[in-house]
Amino acid sequence: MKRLATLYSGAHSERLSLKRQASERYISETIYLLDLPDADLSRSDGLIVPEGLNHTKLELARSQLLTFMSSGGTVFLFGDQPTEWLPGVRWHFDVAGQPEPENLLPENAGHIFHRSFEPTDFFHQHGFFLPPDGAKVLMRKRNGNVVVYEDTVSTGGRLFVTSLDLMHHVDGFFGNPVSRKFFDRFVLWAAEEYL
Amino acid sequence: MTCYLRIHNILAAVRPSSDLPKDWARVNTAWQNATSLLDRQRILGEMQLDEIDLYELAEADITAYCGLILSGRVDQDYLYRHRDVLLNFIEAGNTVVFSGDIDVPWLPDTAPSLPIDQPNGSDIGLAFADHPIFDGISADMVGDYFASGHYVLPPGAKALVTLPQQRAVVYEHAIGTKGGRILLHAGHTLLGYAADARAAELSTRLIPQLLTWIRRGSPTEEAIA
Repeated sequence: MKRLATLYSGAHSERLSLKRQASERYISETIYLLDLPDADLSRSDGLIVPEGLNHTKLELARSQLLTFMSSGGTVFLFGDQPTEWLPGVRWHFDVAGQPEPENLLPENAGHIFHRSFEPTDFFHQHGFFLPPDGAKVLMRKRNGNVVVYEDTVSTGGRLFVTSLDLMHHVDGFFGNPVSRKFFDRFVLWAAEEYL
Repeated sequence: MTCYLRIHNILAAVRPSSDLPKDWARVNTAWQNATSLLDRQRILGEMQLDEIDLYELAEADITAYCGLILSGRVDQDYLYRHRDVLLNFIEAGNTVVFSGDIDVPWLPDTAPSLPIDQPNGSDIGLAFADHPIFDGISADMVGDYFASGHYVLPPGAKALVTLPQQRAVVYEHAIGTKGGRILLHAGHTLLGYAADARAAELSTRLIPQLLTWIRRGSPTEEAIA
């Protein structure tokens, strides 16, 4: 099993998600966002950046994350990205609607992502991306909008990007079974298969 | 859609004396169509609210404001670390409003929120006290996200919106000797209601009545028409 770290920013939904059994088992380190500048990312193989984190702080961490990726680390981005704080991450607004698995089309069928995830595993997406040339699209909407992609060309490392929320809809009032299942499966997949 | 506006990344600071908008329906429509952080800043400005990055709380000069509105998903670890700043602000006679779930006691006298395990909406028995924030507002107007939990009422606090068995969804609590107050709400951010087209009737009342209450005035009928 590889070492999967996650950022955390004191939000209620993050706290609930990180108490789950899957988190205890597959997440090796939780890094508080304000402690990121002093964190030793070289201890980890992957770093989750959950949705909704303060982008001023993330922009300050840009070079640190690029160093991590160029040393072989993988960064996972979730949710909307209001600024292009990492190279090639160009996000675009779209309405977050109801789950619509019939409207999601897997792409690059041989990718390891598709062994664990299918359109019914997705709750709604927050907008879409305009991936850079050379990135591998993994899921797009029927209208062409990309909602999951992998980029190994822009950063010297590997970036996994999706407009899905990872933690906000897992537990608590805003939680739902689809998002719980995705979260538990994602951390397992990342630590055991992808990294 | 407020989920894109990252209201949890900021403190919405209430200007004490500038004129509130006259046409709230127009402000609400603009808020409903907001899709970016620049839209957020512009429209909160129209509501006479200034944005302060949450992580600036410890350094920012907030003495010019009479209230702060905070929304769910805020960094509670940071707020707990700087809870004295908030306490001093409240004890100076100001108001702090929070909607969401408390995990750690960053506001004085608060205990963690408790969940409700039933589907939300007007049929869960929400009752509204007679209070200027909720004047003209009833349970059938507030939709599915108004109550996401409830709070234990601290001694001296007043429940404003309750579930059966007197469980407080919203309470008001006086702090200190200078008129400082907390308004605690276990539910979707109150500012978000201005962005919900399904709750148009509610939002044109709720936001001006909330801001006017923070400023300790009485809303005019013109303002909430």
